[in-house]
Amino acid sequence: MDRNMLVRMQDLVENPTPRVPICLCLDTSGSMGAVEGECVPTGEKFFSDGQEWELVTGGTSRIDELKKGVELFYDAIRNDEIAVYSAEICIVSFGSDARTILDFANIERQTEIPDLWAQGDTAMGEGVNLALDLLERRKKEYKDKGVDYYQPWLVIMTDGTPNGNDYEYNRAVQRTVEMVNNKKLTVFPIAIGDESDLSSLNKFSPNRPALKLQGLKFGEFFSWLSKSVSKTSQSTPGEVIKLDVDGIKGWAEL
Amino acid sequence: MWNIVQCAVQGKGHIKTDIPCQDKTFSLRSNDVEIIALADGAGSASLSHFGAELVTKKICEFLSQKFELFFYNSDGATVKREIIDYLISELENLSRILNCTLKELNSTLLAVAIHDGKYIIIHVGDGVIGYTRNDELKIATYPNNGEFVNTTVFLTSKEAIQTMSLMKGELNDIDGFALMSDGTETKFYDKKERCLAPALKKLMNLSRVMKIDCLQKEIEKFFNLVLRESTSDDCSLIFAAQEDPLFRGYNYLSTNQKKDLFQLRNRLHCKRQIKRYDEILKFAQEPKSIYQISKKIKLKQKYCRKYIEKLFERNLIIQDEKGHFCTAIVMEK
Repeated sequence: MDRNMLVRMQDLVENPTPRVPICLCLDTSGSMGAVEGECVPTGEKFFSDGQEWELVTGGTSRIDELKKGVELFYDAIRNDEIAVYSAEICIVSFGSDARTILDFANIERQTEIPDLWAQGDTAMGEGVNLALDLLERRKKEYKDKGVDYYQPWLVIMTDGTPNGNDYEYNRAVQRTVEMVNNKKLTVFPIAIGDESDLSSLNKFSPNRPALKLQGLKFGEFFSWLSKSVSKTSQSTPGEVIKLDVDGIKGWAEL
Repeated sequence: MWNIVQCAVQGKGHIKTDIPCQDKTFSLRSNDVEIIALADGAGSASLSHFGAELVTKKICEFLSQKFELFFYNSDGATVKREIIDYLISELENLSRILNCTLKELNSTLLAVAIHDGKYIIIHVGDGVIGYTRNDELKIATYPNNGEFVNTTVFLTSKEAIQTMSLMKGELNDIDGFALMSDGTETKFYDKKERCLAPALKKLMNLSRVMKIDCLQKEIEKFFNLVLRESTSDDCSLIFAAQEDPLFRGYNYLSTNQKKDLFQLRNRLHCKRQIKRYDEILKFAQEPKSIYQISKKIKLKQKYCRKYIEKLFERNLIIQDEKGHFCTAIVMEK
């Protein structure tokens, strides 16, 4: 008779697992079609995303490696018994404009990662603004449904210099910096390739300098990211926060 | 007279990282004041288990000495300041002994003091304080988590005094108080509906009829086997429930009350069944095996098991680590 009859399961509550909302804000501009590894030049040249390119065959493109990295990230989360219930991911791309590739949903419902195509300019500001809007909307949904959540994450990955709307870029920088300084957001700015502009990425992250990805090691980066998600999902209160308070109150009564 | 039951278990996350349980509970009965306290050490603070242990002990001592002074002081802000200053000063003494910073001893704090038909409630940080009145379970103070689930206010935070909940009043029909840490909230506090689980009221009611040491063991077993699986955090609970003056022990229950207890109202031969239950409960006041019990009541083991099952169901008997059965209900007060 090895059972505990003290408390029945129906007399307890079931709270949803606290969530970690993560937005991957990915550069899908023309330059992400750049190829590395063994490739053969065709002799043709063309202009895209603010610079001239040489057309080649063979090799591996940045965008293909990026997609593989994202898939690896999803797989790692699905295989982590803690992160699978807490991580919620959305994907935003920015080329000539910003698009929501995959909106927030339970990871089990995100069975397929849409293809990523490298084309157009680098509207980074627009992409980051869209990412921030999606994160804010998701937080509101959590609040409305009584779901606890951790500080959201914004992962910005780009291989170039922003050449979209200046106003949108500055607005994105201002919003991100304010949120980071108020401890409302964690930003991971990742620079891809040798043409990336670290200074424009650094503007988004006052506390953490942009990191340069080694070659096309997206897999390693996303593996680290998934482990970090798992760690965050297990963290317990340990930080002081600023709260809106009305000042010292007197006595209250039941 | 108040029955006090408390429990604190190390979370899965802390077992993995070899960090001691940072949840601490303490109770004190002194100067006619009954005090229960609970503190949850800050996860990032390496010595917060010492801080939590200290503040639960010190707040109980402080409230036992200052209850009347605080209760009759209408300036809540001054009382808050005095409590915080006293606890900080005690933490500073400890930080000197341990050669650490104050931040390394950080914790939340929940406490309830009861004296002469009156109560005082204090709450800094997360966790929940509930109470029972007229058989209803209600919430006195809610968790203070801020926006993110892994952030809260601690005693040494500059926001501590501004966000501290301080309450007082006459007990009237209030007959129980419960304090829980955020780990325990996972199963005992509905975050969407902002209400407490019925299981808490059941535990408080059981403390009025069960032997306290038996109830405490069963709650610990439940925390270790069930609650710990639902969170990686430490889990703790402490409650004080006023004794039921009408319950004098199992031996004083009437036949009809026993019929209701064992759901025998419409059954034939219930007097013989009740006699067997009486015998088992009397015999098993010291732990006994199923073989010993079946021999005592002169019933085959397979039939004896059915009686034991019913007693288990009604929380009148518990099973120890050796598989022996022990009477859990108070036979005579």
